[in-house]
Amino acid sequence: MEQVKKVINNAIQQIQEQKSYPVANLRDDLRIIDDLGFSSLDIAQLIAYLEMELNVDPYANGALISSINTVESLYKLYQSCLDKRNSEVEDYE
Amino acid sequence: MLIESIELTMSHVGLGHLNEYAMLVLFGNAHSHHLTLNTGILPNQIRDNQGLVLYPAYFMTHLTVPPNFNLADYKLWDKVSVGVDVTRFGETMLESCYLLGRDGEVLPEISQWSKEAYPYMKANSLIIVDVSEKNGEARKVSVPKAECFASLPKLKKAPEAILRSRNIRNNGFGIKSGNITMQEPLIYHVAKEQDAAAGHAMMFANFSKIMNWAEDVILSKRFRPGFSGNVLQFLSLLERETFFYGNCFAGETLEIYLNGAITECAPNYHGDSLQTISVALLTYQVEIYTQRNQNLLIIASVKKLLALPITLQDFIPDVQRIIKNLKYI
Repeated sequence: MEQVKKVINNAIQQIQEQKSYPVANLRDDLRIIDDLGFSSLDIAQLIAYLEMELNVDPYANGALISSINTVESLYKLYQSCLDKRNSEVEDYE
Repeated sequence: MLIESIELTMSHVGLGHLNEYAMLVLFGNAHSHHLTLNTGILPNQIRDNQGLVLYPAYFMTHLTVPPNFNLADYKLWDKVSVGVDVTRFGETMLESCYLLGRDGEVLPEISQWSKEAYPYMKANSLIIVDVSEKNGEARKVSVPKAECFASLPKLKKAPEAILRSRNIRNNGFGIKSGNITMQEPLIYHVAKEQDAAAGHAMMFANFSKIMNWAEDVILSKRFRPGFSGNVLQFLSLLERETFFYGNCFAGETLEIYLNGAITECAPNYHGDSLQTISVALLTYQVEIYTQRNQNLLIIASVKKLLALPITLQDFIPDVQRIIKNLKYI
């Protein structure tokens, strides 16, 4: 989970910096839209960054963008997607 | 990549010829067709996993038209080719490019497309939930179901338009006010059916129409002496880069702010044709807001060439004199 957290935090902070509003303390309970003020463009960018960095795409596998609420919900979503992919790789091997 | 062969009908150009608005609509249609290529569904059937209808909303369009390309040469019932290529960044962002030429002139390899010879547009869009279904809500990105969407190549780095969109919102285009400045905004009422379909957000191409309207009002009515309509009809678009930050519905009142300059240019700016004399370049930035809450809808930069047919050369001194003495009223 730590690796996923690091990548997600980094992606969020990158976008925040582009918007000229850096967040000093990114807490798990902060809401992406209501607390961080992410627009549709920011969310689209975040999803694309995470797909490139983590090489998984939860939304192509049925997850809904509307389910993104807090920073923590992002951690869990991507971690579960990575876990699923890893277990599929193990099954295959 | 998709190349469409299209007959210019009355629904495109009325009884006239190709214009910027009609060309943008052709590009938009080709884009939508590309998104459902080989899926067997229509563009209005693109849905996400919740069953919500999705559509691509441009957040940037950048259209360029070569100075020697005359849209008016493309008349009612002529056939044109429209090429479009779309790539995807992540699941909800698209990058697209477009080219228009006569039937058969758009080549199947993008590397062969000539921006110097034909109108070309680069654009970026977000796949969003159709706001007509949830009127008044902020736009939300969503991911189309795989079977509802064409398989598109993915970009490996973020489109430049993301950063540029933020920079333009922060700083504008940096176009300095020259001899065109405004003391108060122009007011525009978004008419139902004429500008926006009832219950639907305004289509991206309509903003170009509104910008052209504003430009015409300023040049012909807000300056005294103003430019004659006989002259202004020969203003042709060279470049329009538009960033979209919001949208509006019919019934909305808009405030339009425009600043820039009109300056004399070399008589052969348009190229070698001896039938035409280039007279002036018009460059401006435009910002459009909703009047009721001052929400920013777009910021755009526009560059146009005023080139008169040789038969109207008597108007050239008028234009040059007016440029030197522009006075806003």
